[in-house]
Amino acid sequence: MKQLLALSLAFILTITSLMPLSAIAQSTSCENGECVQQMVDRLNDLTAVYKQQCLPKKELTDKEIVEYHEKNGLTEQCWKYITEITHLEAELQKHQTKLETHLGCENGECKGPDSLGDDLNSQLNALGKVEQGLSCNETKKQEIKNKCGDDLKCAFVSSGMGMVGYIAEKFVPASEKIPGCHMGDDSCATQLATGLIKSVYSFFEGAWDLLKAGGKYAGKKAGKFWKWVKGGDDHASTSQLAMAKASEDEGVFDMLMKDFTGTMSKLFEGLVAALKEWMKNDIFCEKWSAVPHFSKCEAPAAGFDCISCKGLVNGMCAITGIIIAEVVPAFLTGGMATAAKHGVNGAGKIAKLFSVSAKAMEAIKASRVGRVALGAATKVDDVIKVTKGLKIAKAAVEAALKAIKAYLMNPARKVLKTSLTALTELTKKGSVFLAETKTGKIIVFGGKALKTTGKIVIYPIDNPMTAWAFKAGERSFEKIFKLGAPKLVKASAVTSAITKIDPALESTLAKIESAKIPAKPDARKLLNLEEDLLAKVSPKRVGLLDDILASEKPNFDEIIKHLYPELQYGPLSSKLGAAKVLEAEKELLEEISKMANGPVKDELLKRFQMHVKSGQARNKIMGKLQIRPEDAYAGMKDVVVPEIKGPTLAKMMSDKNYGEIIIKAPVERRRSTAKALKLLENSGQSPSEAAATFQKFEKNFNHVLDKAPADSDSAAMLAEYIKRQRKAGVADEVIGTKLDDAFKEVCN
Amino acid sequence: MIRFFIVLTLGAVALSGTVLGKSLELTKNARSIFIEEKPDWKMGKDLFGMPFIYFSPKKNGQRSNISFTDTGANLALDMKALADNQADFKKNKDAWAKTVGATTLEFSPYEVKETKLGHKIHQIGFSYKHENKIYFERSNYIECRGKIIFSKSLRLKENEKHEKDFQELLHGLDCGGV
Repeated sequence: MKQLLALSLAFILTITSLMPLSAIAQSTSCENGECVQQMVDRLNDLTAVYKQQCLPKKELTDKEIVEYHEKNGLTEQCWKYITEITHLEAELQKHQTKLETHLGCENGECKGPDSLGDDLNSQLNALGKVEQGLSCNETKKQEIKNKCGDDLKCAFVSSGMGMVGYIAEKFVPASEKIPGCHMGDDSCATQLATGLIKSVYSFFEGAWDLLKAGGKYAGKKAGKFWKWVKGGDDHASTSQLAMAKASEDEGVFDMLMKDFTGTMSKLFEGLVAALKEWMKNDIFCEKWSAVPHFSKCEAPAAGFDCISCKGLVNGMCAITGIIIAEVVPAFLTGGMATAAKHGVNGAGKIAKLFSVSAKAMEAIKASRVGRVALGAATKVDDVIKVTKGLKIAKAAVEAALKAIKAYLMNPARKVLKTSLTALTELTKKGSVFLAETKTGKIIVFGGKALKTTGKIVIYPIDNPMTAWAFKAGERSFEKIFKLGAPKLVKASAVTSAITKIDPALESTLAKIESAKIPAKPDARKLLNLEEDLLAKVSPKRVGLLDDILASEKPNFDEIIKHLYPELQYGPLSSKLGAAKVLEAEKELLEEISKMANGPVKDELLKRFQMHVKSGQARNKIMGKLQIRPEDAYAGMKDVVVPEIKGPTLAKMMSDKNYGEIIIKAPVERRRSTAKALKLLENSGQSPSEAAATFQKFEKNFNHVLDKAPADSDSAAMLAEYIKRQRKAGVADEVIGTKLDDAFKEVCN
Repeated sequence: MIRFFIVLTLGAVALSGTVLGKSLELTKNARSIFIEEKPDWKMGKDLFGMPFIYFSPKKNGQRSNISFTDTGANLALDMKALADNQADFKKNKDAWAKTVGATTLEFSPYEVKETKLGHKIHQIGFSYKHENKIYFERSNYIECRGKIIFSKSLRLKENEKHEKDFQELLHGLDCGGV
């Protein structure tokens, strides 16, 4: 899980480093919150990582979180997380505000259905009303059906009023007048109603052409009789067939007999309703199961159901003549009973009776009624399309807001916010430092944190870390903070002494410390810093060293690091060269040697000898010059090697101290061995002491004797070296080790 | 054209000195004709602009009917011309049948009969099929004291009984009030 989180975070930060924080929102449109889920996912990941890596695993109280940060500070990595989180949250909240405005809500409260505006809710509410007005739902169908009666009754009555003679009288009794019904408003409906009324009542109104004959009926005119009577005869055929069929239902028959006029009004409604059904399912049918008009209509024309009866009749205005001539007879003879009995509800049944000529069919198709229906359906489609788009947008916005809310309510976020608040408060409360450690940079809040940080370099932060810093989203400390000159957390006797002569040197010392922190320090930078330090320190170094050595517990490592940086055998030593290094070693040794005898001096000498023992780093700089027998000899030209002649050798061989040593040596090396022993004796040692010294370094002497020619002075020179080393205060163990190392080098 | 106002009076009449039963006076605009009143028949007025339609009792699901209308025409019909041109009637009715979704079947040729009161009746008819029912229709143009009275009868094929009633009504028609 931890690895997963780490990988996840690595990915997050890699991506983040490649694009600005707001790039998610900018790369694609976030108008409807498209970018939100991605942001929330990132925030959740970051929150989880922060909680895991920047806070202890156990649950903490708010107070404990403050204490935790006070004690442990905040690593740069955690700073990156929290600034990223803070910035993303700020972005998220901006989106939240925008999305709420876009949706038509504010602080969770959304506008009412009558609100005005260009937000989604207002637009949807407005479109809802438009759609409701345009869409053809069952309620609206029923409303239109119910209204059809009044619409047509007005037209029917108006038609009656428009006609003269007995028809008008019969059709418009005072009680039948409809309030608000004006003839002029419904010219098309009136035209159709008039056509129907005439077709029903026109027996005396022109259908009876027989009157044309007058008194001159004779000759050729007599032959036209059947043509003259056609109108009246056909009308009678239609009417009587209609009545014969109506008589099948006693109720309908009685209705017609008692109130033919009133029934006709109802028939008119039925006719219009049937016409609507007919056009929907026949004339304008969009898909037939087989042969058009002779098979089942599988897709009735949309839009007709919600055209008002008045609208339908208006659309048929130009084809009223066709309707009257070709549809009404079929209606009267086939559908009258159904219409009289069921009114508009019988429309479907009646519509099946209608059949018109091909010419009439074309005329109807070309009429305005088709366009009216199609227009209504298209308008609804358009509104539905827009509404659908807005609904999708609304759903997206709501989902985004829900995701934001879920994130804001996330318990893990509460801990994070507490942590952020704690950090902000701590920065306001006291000093803030940036500490550089081998494990990374840490923000520490003075006091407790510094006590636990050990010897590290810190940068006082001149400007306090504020909430702005978090919100700025800068993830690198250097970019955020104006750092002060670096300091060392803890001053030692050495650094105190150095900074006493020049306070500015503290910064140099801290910078050197800081430069050494990386796994691969910047050698050039370090060299420059050490050279700078050395240049400033060396003129006063002996005095400083004496003061330091006089302190209670002089620290050898501190002395080397800060006062004698060239004795670290690094780039500075190489640059200065062996001579300078040797000179420094000598200077240091001499000053230590000057100390009063005691354990402190012994310890320092011991550390010195250990330090200057020929390690690889030192050897690289110093070479093997100082320990090769030849070099040693060259360096000791003034040494007087005693001469050993036969009697002296014999005498020494018989000496209780020397005898065993000399006799044990091969014959050709006995004189050389005797020279070494005599040299030691001449330097002030007693024969027993000289013998003891030889025996102590016997291995080294034998080594020299093995390598050197017979009767060589080499062993004596080694004795002189040992003598001098001892005189310099070098412990025999150190001398032994140095010789071992030297011979090892030589032999190799 | 001068419109003649006709009064058709419905009343009791005696035919050839023999009282056959009650009569109906059909009056319109001050002119009347008389027809026999038949038991259980119903008179409809001003239906579809037609002043009088007389309905039989229901038989075989329908009422047969016969209409009486004063055409207003004042003339004597030329039998030969009507007989020679009866194809026009056939043509008219074929066309009409289409408008109501019917199919013509047979035509009864033009003929002239004389009523008991000596009025000439010019008859022509046809049968047709409408919604799976067969109808017999006859147009009657009655020369009624110089005026042309139009009468049309209609019945289902199976209501042959009413044909007799129709003939009785027509032959008993009295143009006394015309």
